[in-house]
Amino acid sequence: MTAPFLVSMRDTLVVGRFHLMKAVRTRSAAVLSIALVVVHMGGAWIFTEILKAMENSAADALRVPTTDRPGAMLGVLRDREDFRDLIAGLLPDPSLLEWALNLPYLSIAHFWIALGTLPFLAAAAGSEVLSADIKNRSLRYEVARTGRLEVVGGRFLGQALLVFVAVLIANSGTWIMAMVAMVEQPAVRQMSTLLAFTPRLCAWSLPFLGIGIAASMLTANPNTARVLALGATVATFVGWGFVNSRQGEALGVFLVPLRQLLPQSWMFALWDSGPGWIAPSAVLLVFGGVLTLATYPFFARRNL
Amino acid sequence: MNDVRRAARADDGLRVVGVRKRYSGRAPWALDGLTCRFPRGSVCGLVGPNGAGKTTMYSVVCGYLPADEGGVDILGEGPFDPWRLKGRVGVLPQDAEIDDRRTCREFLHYMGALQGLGRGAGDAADEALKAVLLDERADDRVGSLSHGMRRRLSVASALLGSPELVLLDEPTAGLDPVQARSLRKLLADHRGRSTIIVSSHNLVELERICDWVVLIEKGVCVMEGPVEEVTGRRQVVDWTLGPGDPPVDALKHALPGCEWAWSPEGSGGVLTLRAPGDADLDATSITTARILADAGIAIRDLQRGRSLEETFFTSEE
Repeated sequence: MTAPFLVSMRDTLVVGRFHLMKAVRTRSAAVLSIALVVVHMGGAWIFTEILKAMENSAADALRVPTTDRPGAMLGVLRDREDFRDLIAGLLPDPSLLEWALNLPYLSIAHFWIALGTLPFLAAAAGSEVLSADIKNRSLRYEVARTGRLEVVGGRFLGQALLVFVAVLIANSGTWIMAMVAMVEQPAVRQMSTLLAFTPRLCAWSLPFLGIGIAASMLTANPNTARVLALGATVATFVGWGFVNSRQGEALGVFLVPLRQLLPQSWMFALWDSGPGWIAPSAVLLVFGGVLTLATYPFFARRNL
Repeated sequence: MNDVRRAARADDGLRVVGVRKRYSGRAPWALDGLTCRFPRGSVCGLVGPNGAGKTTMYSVVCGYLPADEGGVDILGEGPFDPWRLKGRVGVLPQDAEIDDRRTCREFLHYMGALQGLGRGAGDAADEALKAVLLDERADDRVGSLSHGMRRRLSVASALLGSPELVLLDEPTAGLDPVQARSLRKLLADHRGRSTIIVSSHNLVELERICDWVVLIEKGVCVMEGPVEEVTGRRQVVDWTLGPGDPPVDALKHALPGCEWAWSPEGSGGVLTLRAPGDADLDATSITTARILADAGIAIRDLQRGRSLEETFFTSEE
């Protein structure tokens, strides 16, 4: 039962296309998008409040009027130690500070927030990809016409595109906050920076999307699949924290290879100021594929 | 699997050979060595009581479930393979739902695209919608359709692109009589073009449209063959007669080789004629009617063979 390569690819694309068309109308797509927008607008608002406090503190020191909307004194803040410490605290590597200080600051906060929230949202979204269709047996229409691997691959593709759309919507939320809550923000540069971060964020979501889809192949109950997916996502963070905490110990030597198998180990490389983020993104794409197929042998044999 | 291929004949649309399947280690066999065939180009009925194994057989044939033993040969190509048989097999699964959020056209377009219809998928979808009288609802979401309409949409997906083998599991379940009749006509129109296998509890309906029937019970085939043969329509005629004893001796003399049985009922009775396999039943009937008329016996009713329903119940006893 070997699929001809081109036919297999075509079927995967067909499944992905129709899955995306269906997925954008689902409640979970709306929840994913709204959650991302709310989280990002909320995070951006908190960040603007911090900037406002810092700007007003600088204004007091310079004996100039304070402001309700930050942004006008960012040039002054850039040279202040507390502000540099704040931005440096958001970065994984101090050498990135000068690069980051030249970016619209809300985009840095946006990227940071997305790195923390996307894994859980992607895993939750992925967990619905197959489980409900196993339950209502609607997959029978598809597997009578194409291979199960193509169904899984196509849905992974469609769901990844859905995450991409959701990240774009989240970008708009941050951009609107930058325009509304701050002054003197370069609209085009703000958006182009957010867009430049978008493929990195999509790559970052893929392993967790894979975890979600793997969970959805295991059970016909979408709620169980969601719990499994979110549990596994939490486990990767706990595992990453555990491995990091043991780095200096003798045991740490044995944990180094394990560390590379956790998506979080590739997260900081996404901050690269040049094209250095592309290679870790490719690794995350592979993680996404491998994790998606983790439960495929079971799915390939199960009664649909 | 080669044994299955060897057992299959060129004119088989589907051949099932020695298939055994059970759902867990201790469960009874849902299919217990099922062997049957469905001739190419015919409309076939798959009959059996609940739990006989009809849906399991469909599941094994379509690859939803692997068989524990035995195998199937589909259109002479071996077991189900979505690549080798792409676009050649249409399926109406019994209890599979269609996603509520898709429109009718979008669902069929998707199915057509997966069948490899390419740019023709949209036209094929419109054609299939028209065939099941859903063309006016083409752009409505599936969620807005009644149960019967969804069933028709499922049937449309099974017939999409005129596949060579069509498996329909309870296609008329939930349809009103008008819809059921239109579906029967649709299936009859495909006779000769596709091998259509229909499972249904409605034996009268199956008898109307099928020319081949397979009766399964407890996972084994208990009877299979042309409907006329299985129901005895080529050999058996029941004559319901008015008062008076029928001239059985004269009939035996005029029609040697035929067997006669007389069952008195009320003021008349039923005279059953069983003709030899090579007999011309039309000529036999004319002779019988003449002899009965000469004897002054009224003919109240005439039935060739048994109904599929009677055959089914007789086999169950």
